[in-house]
Amino acid sequence: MMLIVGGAGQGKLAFALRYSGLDPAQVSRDPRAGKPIVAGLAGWMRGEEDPLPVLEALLRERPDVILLCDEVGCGVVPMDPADRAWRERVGRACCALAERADTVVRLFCGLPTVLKGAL
Amino acid sequence: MLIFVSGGSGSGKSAFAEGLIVQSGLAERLYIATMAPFGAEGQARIARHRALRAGKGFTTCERLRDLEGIDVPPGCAALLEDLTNLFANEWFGTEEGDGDPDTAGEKVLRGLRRLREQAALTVVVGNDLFSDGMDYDGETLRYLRALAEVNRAAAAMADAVYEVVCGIPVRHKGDAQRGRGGERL
Repeated sequence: MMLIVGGAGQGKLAFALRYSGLDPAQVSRDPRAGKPIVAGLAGWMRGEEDPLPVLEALLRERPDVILLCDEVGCGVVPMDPADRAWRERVGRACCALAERADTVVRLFCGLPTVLKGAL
Repeated sequence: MLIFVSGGSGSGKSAFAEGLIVQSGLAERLYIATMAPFGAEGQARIARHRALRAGKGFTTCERLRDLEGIDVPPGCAALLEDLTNLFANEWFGTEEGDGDPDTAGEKVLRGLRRLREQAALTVVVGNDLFSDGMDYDGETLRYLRALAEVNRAAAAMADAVYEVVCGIPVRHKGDAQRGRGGERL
């Protein structure tokens, strides 16, 4: 599994498509859809109180999946408790996924930095 | 030796910072807590941190303000968590007294210098609050800029600086494994 993180609009999806050679039809924003690239995990986690069981099922089904998640913890603490809880959930899920990942890449201004493993 | 560890919310900073203290091999480990335990969410956050620290041999002391007045055992390993809370307490004040935005940053930095003089290893946890745009009111902007300045000063003072991303440390300066003279710690 490859985990790609980075701020919004930093080029995560463009990098994933370029790296994998897959086309946009192979991208889903729902981990339950079983596609080889799952983008927008942070947004999906808005509606998931406990995202890890779904993600673990996906990893069992597709050990080579590419997961994309916005980094959302690098801002001012949100006023709304639900936003705070969501931000915490996304951060912890990314820590758990990074531990399981073969490769972790962070995109910054379109530029990839490998944090774990090798491309 | 001063190590500055920063990163976003939920990035795994604390676990990494605690690991640096444990790996130092220094027997006396002090956890300097800076957070006022407000509300159920604050209590839950503190409980989570306590569970994370359990069994790692830390003595906990609460220091919401006035770090420059602290006395720690000479030669200990000290973990200050975190710089943001300490700065907020000095800026906004606590139940014990009013804050002062004009002196908050300098007070925090004087405290860091004092801690570094006494402890053999000081690990300071900070936060990245600066990457969601600066679309805030004037007072919040002033606070954010002052906090960012404290973070930069702490990083400048530090022997090593790490940013933790998804639990993975990204080194920006120095090396936690080496002392000032390059010796293995």
